[in-house]
Amino acid sequence: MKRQCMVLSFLLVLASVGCGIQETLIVELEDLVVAEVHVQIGGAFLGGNRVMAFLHRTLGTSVPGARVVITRGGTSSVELQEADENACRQERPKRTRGTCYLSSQEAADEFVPGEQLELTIELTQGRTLRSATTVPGGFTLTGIEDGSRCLLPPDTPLTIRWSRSSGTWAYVSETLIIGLERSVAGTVASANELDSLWLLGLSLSASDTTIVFPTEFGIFERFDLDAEVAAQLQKGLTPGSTASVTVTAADRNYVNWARGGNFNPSGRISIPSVTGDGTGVFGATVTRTFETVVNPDSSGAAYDVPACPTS
Amino acid sequence: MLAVTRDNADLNPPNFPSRSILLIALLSCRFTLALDAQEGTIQGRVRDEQGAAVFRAVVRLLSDTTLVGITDTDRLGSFRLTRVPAGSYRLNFRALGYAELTEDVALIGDETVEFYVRVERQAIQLEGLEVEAERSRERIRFEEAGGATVREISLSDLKQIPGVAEADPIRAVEVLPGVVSTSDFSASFHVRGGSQDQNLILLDGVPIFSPFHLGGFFSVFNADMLDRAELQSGGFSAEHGGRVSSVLQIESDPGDGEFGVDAGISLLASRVAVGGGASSQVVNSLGLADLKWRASVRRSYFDILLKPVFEFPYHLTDFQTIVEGWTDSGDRLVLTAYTGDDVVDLTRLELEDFPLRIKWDWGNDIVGLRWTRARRGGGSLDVRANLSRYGSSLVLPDFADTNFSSVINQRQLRVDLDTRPSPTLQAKVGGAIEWMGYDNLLETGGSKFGGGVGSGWLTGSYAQASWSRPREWVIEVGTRLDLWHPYHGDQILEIAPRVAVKRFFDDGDLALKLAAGRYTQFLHSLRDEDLPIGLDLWVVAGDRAPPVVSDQIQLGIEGYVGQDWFWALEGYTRTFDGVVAVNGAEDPNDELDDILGGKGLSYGADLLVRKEVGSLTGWAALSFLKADRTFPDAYSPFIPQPEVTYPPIFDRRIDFDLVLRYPLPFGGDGGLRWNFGTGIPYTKPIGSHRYYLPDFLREQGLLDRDGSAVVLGERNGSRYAPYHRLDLSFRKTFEKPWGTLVPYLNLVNVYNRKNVLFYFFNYRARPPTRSGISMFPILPTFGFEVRF
Repeated sequence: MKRQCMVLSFLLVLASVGCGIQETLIVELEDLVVAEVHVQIGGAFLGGNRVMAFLHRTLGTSVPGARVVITRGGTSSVELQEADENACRQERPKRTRGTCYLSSQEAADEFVPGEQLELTIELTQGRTLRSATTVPGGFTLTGIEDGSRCLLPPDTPLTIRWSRSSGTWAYVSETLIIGLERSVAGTVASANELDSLWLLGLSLSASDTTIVFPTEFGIFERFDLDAEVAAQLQKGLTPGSTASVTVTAADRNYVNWARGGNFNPSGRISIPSVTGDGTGVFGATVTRTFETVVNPDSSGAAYDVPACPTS
Repeated sequence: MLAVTRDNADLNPPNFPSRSILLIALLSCRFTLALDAQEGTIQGRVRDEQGAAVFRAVVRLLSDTTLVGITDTDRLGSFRLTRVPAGSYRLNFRALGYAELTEDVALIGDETVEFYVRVERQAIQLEGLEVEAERSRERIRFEEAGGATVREISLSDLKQIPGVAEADPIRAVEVLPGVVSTSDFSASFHVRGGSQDQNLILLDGVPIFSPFHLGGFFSVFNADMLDRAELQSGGFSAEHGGRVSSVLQIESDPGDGEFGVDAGISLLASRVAVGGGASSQVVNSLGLADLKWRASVRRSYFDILLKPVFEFPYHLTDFQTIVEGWTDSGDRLVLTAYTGDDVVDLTRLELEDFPLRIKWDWGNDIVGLRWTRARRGGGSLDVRANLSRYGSSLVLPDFADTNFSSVINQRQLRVDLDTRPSPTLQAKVGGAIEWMGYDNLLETGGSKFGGGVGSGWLTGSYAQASWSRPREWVIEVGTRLDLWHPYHGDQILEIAPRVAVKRFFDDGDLALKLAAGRYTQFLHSLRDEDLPIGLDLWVVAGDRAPPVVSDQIQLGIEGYVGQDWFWALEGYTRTFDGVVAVNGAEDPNDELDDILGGKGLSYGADLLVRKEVGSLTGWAALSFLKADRTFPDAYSPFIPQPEVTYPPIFDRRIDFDLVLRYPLPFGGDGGLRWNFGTGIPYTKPIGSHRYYLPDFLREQGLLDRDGSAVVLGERNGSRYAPYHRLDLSFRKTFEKPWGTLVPYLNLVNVYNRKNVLFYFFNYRARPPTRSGISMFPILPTFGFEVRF
């Protein structure tokens, strides 16, 4: 808070204007259920589709005993079963508990791109939450097989292209680059997990079906990136580095939840798509993946994989 | 020492075809037949030896020593005294910097006598003349203005109203009735339930889009360059188009043609304004009779001052000039120009201090050229060509794929013809053709996150007539016709009739007035008004955004109590169809849904009580307002989306301002402002939660905590605590052989009221807490001004 105050004062060019601090009061917190329900289709890294619901509360407590049902195309229904919390998420903050609900793998694999879904969550004490969405249409990467690996020359950006996914609002691209930071720092690059750089790229609208790798990744990390690493990313990867890349078509609900609403000083606003006795998101995504590798020297001997479609 | 006077040789030929084309004027002529046959009119023009009009000369009509009538001259030096009973009088002319002049005049019956006088320059201060002139202007406005609610702030008021750092004409507007400001940090204002982009701000008649420095903290106008600021907060006549809520006219002072310097330094910036006149050689070579000019520059200095120890990343500069020329025949030529730039430059900071190199600048540029010919018997022909531009640009030198830019341009050519077919009738017609275009872009990482391009032609025309029976009736009728032809979207034709009636009682000291009209606007700012500081992002109406159509009615009563006190009470209601808000849930596949169109409603009442004469002067303004906005709920997953109605941030129900000027011991001047406002609305968070997103790479689709989010309650359903603040100013003028020196001290928020800027709700804390930050604490600022 003091930092915000300082920044504001700084920008106002008023050295003598300090922001006063308001008196701190204790306030009441409303107990709301937050339902985060995701239908994820495709993606070789996922090992199949995944359909999960993570239910938690503003009080930070779990939501056991709920009945979570997703209806596909108005006909067949899939009921998600309560599971271990770790099956939904990796990280567990001390104060936030939640309840994970998962579909069986067989049921999850029946979900297909383009179908309409409805969500009903019946909580104990008769409260309900509802939502609906349409899974983005299927798409394919151009010149790169889903889940494959290709060879990228050093300092060469790769324009990733894919076919249009109907109904998608945005393509979320992620990359995990290993070995880049160390080589920029002047040491020998290595495929060391500790030297990994996770970056996010965005392509807005269904028709924006290209992104330049790695140049256009990391738009939300630019405040945090080392300047030399940022400069290297504008050129391409360094010898010896490797990268995993995903391209995910996301629906309206996912995009609204992720991008947030208008500014509020108390924190981020996530635009919900779940209505009723709570809030939350019912998102659907379709994912494609591949890996790129860069030979550690000019001999090209290290990797025997097809070349990435750089031209 | 008195100047030679009657001058009929240079009357402009009355050859304009106006009388034949003014339908409204002709229709209104029948009213003139009812005039009292024994009352005449004295009118004319006051100019100096070079032919330049003498502005604000006080013209007094005396019968022996009894004052029969008083008025003052306009920018063209014209004046008019009506309803003068037949008889013999003395006509007295007084103006600052000119010799006093008195002429005999005899009026027989209902004739109109025309006086064209020339006065000599003389550096003698006439005691009390400024006050007298100002007071006469207020009285004339009361008697002549029908529907418009006009409030003027003179330069002296402007400098005496306490404020932050230095006098600011837009900040000063906040103290007027019907005007709401939502934050100490923003000079933008809202008038009677209108949005801040619905105020037409004119510098010498040239529109200026976003006249603010530092994201709205203070205005771009250097008070040293100004003559006055006039706010029309409602009922404005058909000649003004383009905005629906108010018209703020800022007039520059071209000076008296003598070399002079005004300079000052405050905590914000240092400034200097220089004025003078052109040599006779230059004047003659330009074919003019007189030419005077003033120009000012202003710059903040923190970046220079701190440079040895720290790269302060912000500075502002602005330049403003006015050049006024007069022809032998009394035509007026005016050039007004302004350019300003705010720069936030983070490219020179050490990378470890700030890793992202950013350069961000924004500002306005305007140029206006105006030719005005005074007409015999009053009125004028006015031709203007205006250019106005506002733009901002954010550059990240290390990332060529990033581009945040916004620009809007306006090019305008307008003609106005003001005629006085009879002493009781004023008619005005005019037209303008203008082009407006914007180009906004927000892209990074190969994706376009927002923006748009649009333009359009606006052909506007109007006719208005004002008939008056002095101290009995003023009736104004007019119509404005705007044809907006956007490049993208359908052509829009809006007819905007306006009518006003004012009825005087109590021998002209009390008046009841009613005004109704339709107002239209074809551009919007997408700035988030909930933020205390922000930059405008302009768009024009078209396929992305609707035009604003506002129907307004106001009913008021106003009057004088004696010579000292003026009071006015007005109630109003306004509808706004076509207000806009950014669609936070826009579909990236639909290029046209990024702006939501909605509607608004406001009603309220404003009371003004003003003391105009005496050692203690000032006013009290009490305003009541209820406003709301209605938009489709873009966040709703249901189709069709339901509507949500909420009070906008400027829905301050009660706003009270007390402004006083008073003498201090040892020749000082004091100013006081106390402002009280009930709390403005805000959207209260009711809870918070962790939110998660699938991580498709590292966690193989498992949810990964992405941070905390808050759940909002009813939109703007809560209100901050009431706002109040006392400000004081102290000025002392020291007369020196070389000029004057004026040190001043402003004390803002004298009793250190902690007015809320934001509340922070921390629901992650145990127990949950609400804290926040306040606006200005007690804040002494000082500076000084010199003049020679």
